[in-house]
Amino acid sequence: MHVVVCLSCILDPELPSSRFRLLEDQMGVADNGIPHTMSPFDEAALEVSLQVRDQASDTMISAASVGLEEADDVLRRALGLKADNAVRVDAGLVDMQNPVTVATKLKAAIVALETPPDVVLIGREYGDWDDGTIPPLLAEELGMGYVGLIHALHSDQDGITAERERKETIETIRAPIPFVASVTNYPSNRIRMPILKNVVMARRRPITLVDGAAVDDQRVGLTLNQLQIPERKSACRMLEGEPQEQAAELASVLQEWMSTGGR
Amino acid sequence: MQIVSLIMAPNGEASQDGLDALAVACKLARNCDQSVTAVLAGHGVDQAIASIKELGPDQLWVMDTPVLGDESSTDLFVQAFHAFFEDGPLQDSLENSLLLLGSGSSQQEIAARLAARLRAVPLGECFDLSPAEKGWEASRMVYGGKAVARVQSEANLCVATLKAGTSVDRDSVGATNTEVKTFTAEIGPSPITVEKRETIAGSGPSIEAAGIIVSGGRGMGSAESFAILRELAQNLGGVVGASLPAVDAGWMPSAHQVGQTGKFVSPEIYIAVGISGASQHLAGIRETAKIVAINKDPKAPIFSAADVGVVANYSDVLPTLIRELEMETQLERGTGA
Repeated sequence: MHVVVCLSCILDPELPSSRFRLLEDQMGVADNGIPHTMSPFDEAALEVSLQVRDQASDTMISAASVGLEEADDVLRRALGLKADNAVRVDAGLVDMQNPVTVATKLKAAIVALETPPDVVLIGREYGDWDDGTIPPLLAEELGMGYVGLIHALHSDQDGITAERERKETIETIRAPIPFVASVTNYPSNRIRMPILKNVVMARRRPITLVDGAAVDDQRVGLTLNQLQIPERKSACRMLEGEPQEQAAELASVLQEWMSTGGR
Repeated sequence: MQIVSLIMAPNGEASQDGLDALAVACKLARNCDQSVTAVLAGHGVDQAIASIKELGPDQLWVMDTPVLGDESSTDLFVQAFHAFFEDGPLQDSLENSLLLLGSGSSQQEIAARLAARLRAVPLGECFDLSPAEKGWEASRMVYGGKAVARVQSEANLCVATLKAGTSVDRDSVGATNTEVKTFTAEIGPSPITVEKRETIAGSGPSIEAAGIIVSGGRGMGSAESFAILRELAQNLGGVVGASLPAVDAGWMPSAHQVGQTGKFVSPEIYIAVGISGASQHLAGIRETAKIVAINKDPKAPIFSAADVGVVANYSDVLPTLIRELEMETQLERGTGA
């Protein structure tokens, strides 16, 4: 089986708000020197693919990404976990803002792998600009079925099933290959630690680069007018004194809120 | 130009998010002097029709068929809506139009897949939608909720979902006499099937409906330490929630995860214990909630979002807090207050 995992490079989600600044023209983020990382959802997708290979050792895993050169870091991380192939389609910031462009370029990355995928896994949000639109768009671009928000895959004699949680139930879903599945974080798919030897070897493994400018996207675009940092609530009332004193005061506050309906 | 609201009713009732999106669509249409059409897909939808008529769209198209009675099969709803817009009565009148769905992962999937099939531009999860000179403008959360992007598309057809928690005034929309018509969509069986469903044991009351939530984050340190949060929640008549790192660590089930990629919660009171306050977590809490933050790090971003802050180890604060609340409850019982 061939599993393709789509990985994206995002601004470190643990970044304190105080370090998150916009450019003067409010058309981008001042991200010089800000750490980038693989998103937790992409990590989950990568771990799911590795678990498939744990079950079937002949599974081929390919890592695909769309983005600037920094995206090579997330591909190297996948190679360090013994992904078999890695490919990136070049894309600039403006491209990443348009989900249709990203989906089209992801398709180009997958096509460049030559062996068609049986399953394409992608984190439930792709990159810093997506809110869940890209995974189902990608399925449509590839002409494949789609299952959203899975946390595990299993294979049996009848094919492949996916597991997802939905309204306090766990659903087992059967989907014919090939299909695209978006992956969400779950306790069972926390990314494993790599073996150091593989991380070192990954530095020398090739990453196929596809020229994004050559990928044609006919659709009328989505343009950014402006970025803004939302204003948070004004002053937080910080309680004072020893912890027990603060606890007593907090109890009074909570009781007051509850008696006035929390308003 | 048309504004079209898509609503699902697999169990016969229009979903609340769908009605919210319809109310937003009606208000948008009134503001730009356009008509608004609702398209309803489901099974046994009399109740849904009644709810939709209260909001008064100009037209309501109904697709009512047994195969659309399964809310798990998003695939079938994609097929139904695609058939409606591709081959149905509106196919020639969708210039400069907007299709709007409510909030939720199924709605996001339908919006994206419809956009691809209709060669439309997907605007994503939006709020503050407005018509532009050509096309549509909308606001979206990006960078995990750290920033708001104002985006625009001049495309002939745009598809959007409404961001969860967008405030919607259902009372102020028009009271037009809605024209109700039916459409029969050709829907084939979906290749994607749900083979099994297992209820998760001990999932407890839903946090989405809770009025008081006591939530724990990475700072709790272990699954066992959530016991004190359960005690506090019980005392307050609330429910326990968790941040993404706490769920990732296996300390709480994912059904209790609050955040942009967890549940959107609308409590009156939200107590965040050992939670740093990452934007994607705060994005899951309705703005009107009163937030208490308890964190030993005085620089934690949660304090800029909270109403009341306590800088201390939770273990130094919570036992006393619970005792004080219990004493007050006993006093009230004693005096009959």
